[in-house]
Amino acid sequence: MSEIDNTAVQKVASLARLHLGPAERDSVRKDLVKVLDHVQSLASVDVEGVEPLNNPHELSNALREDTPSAPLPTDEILNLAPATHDAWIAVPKVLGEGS
Amino acid sequence: MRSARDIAEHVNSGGSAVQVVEEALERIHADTSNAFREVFDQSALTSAAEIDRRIIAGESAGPLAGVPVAIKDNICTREGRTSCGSKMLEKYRSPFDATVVTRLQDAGAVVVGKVNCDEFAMGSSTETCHFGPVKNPADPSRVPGGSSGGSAAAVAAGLVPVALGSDTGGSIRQPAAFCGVTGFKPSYGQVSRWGLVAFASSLDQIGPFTTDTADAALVFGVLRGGDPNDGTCEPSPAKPCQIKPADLKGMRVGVPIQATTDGNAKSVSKMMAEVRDQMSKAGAEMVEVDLSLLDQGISTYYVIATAEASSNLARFDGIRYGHRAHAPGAGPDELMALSRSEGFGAEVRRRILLGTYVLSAGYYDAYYNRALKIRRMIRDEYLKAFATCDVLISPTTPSTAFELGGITDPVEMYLCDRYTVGANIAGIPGISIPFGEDEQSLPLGLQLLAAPFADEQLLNAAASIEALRDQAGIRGARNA
Repeated sequence: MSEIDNTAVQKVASLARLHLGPAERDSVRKDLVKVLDHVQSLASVDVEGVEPLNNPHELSNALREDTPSAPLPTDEILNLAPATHDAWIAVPKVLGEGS
Repeated sequence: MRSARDIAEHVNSGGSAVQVVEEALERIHADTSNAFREVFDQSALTSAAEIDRRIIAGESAGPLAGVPVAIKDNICTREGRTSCGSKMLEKYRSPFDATVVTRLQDAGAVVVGKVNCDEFAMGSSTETCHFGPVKNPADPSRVPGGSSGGSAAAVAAGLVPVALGSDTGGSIRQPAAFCGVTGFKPSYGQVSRWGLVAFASSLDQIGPFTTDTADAALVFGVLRGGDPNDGTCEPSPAKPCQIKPADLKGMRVGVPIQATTDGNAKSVSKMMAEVRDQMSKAGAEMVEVDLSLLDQGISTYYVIATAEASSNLARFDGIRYGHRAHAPGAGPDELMALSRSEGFGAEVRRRILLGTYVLSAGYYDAYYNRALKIRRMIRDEYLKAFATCDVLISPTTPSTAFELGGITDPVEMYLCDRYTVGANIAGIPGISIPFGEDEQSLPLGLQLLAAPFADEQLLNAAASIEALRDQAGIRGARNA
């Protein structure tokens, strides 16, 4: 059995910026244990001396020429934002009193 | 319904694209499978009229002139919404078209709408779609597979001859098998991913659903080619894909030992025996191949895919676009967490959590880094197999389509992708073609794989097997 308790689930949820209620936390924990138990099979493979493969064709960076092109239309981008203020995207206050 | 080739030829020789598109729209509006998320009646008819005008004016209208095409909901279109089957993007309108959409339109294809998929392409049944599950046209009590279930159902129900899907671990091939159509995942890097909402960037690839291999090749020829906006796309020039059925005589066809196990449904094993028999009779040399790591595929895949997803989906923060929770007084972190928890469904949350876990301090080496090492070993096993075989064949799925709500255990659901994840892990091309049906008349799918960038060779081999199937009177594609 994989060791993952509700505290660990809570920690991962907070890293992932997800809220989990107490009931959901437990059901998520059970699911994660199931999946992690299945994934344990990877531990049985001998990977000694094998390099990790991030990309199937081992591509290296392909950079475009740094030439200006037309930007996406600002008004359309702003229209997608859930809240705006003039030509800005509105967010909750980031710097609180005393910070 | 006619093939894309027939429609393009008809329109290019003076047939009305408007009429073709009107008929498609009529079929789509009468459909009850929930394949379509949104139908672009107005813009589709305008585009079709423009194709007709070009042809009357003697201008070229392209190899897909007047062909109605459906686009998976995770591929960006300026027209309509791009929701990825999620509440998070329910109202999202992309300010740009994906490269594949532009290429289709430049070739004369008419985008008739968006089709449903599992939320952010995470699922094997299209049941995680926020806009309701899609029904399998072969049996409406069953799932169409996933995640590109809407794309598969749209072609299988005869609504459109072509639909685009995306395949991260089998999301084109598995629904193609379940619905009885052709689904092709090109080699990683053959088709631009610009405008595909990223799930797992080192595994994702866009490809077509069609009723046969010749149509898949036609569409692939339009889609492929380098794109300055996708650094992982091979910088080769766009060129048509001419299909030429391969000579089966002397073809070396590998059959993984691990793909002929007791784990397959009886009908699936029977199909494999039939395929082997027919191919040997046609002169192909059948070779047993040992893919000893095939059974590590699902674990390797779920570690890598969820890790990449947890990173890719971090962009959905409720700040710049997408769902924002109504939480007056909440600070930025709390607002983000509330928005993400409300916007994402259960499977997406589960995969983000799993991905975050395998990347977190203390577990990175045991899970993520180990999976990347096994990824290399799996890729090398395929490369070794292709040193002696022209193609590999296997079932696309261990069983035929299951009932809606029939699988609730996440691991059991993941195992549907047993035979398909390898192609994504290794970046090789794969195709599923319909090959008969089971005792309940549900479609069976045969998967073919080939070496990296041997996409044309793969399509040629698939075309030959299709011909064998048709000669033997075995049921092929569903298209209504």
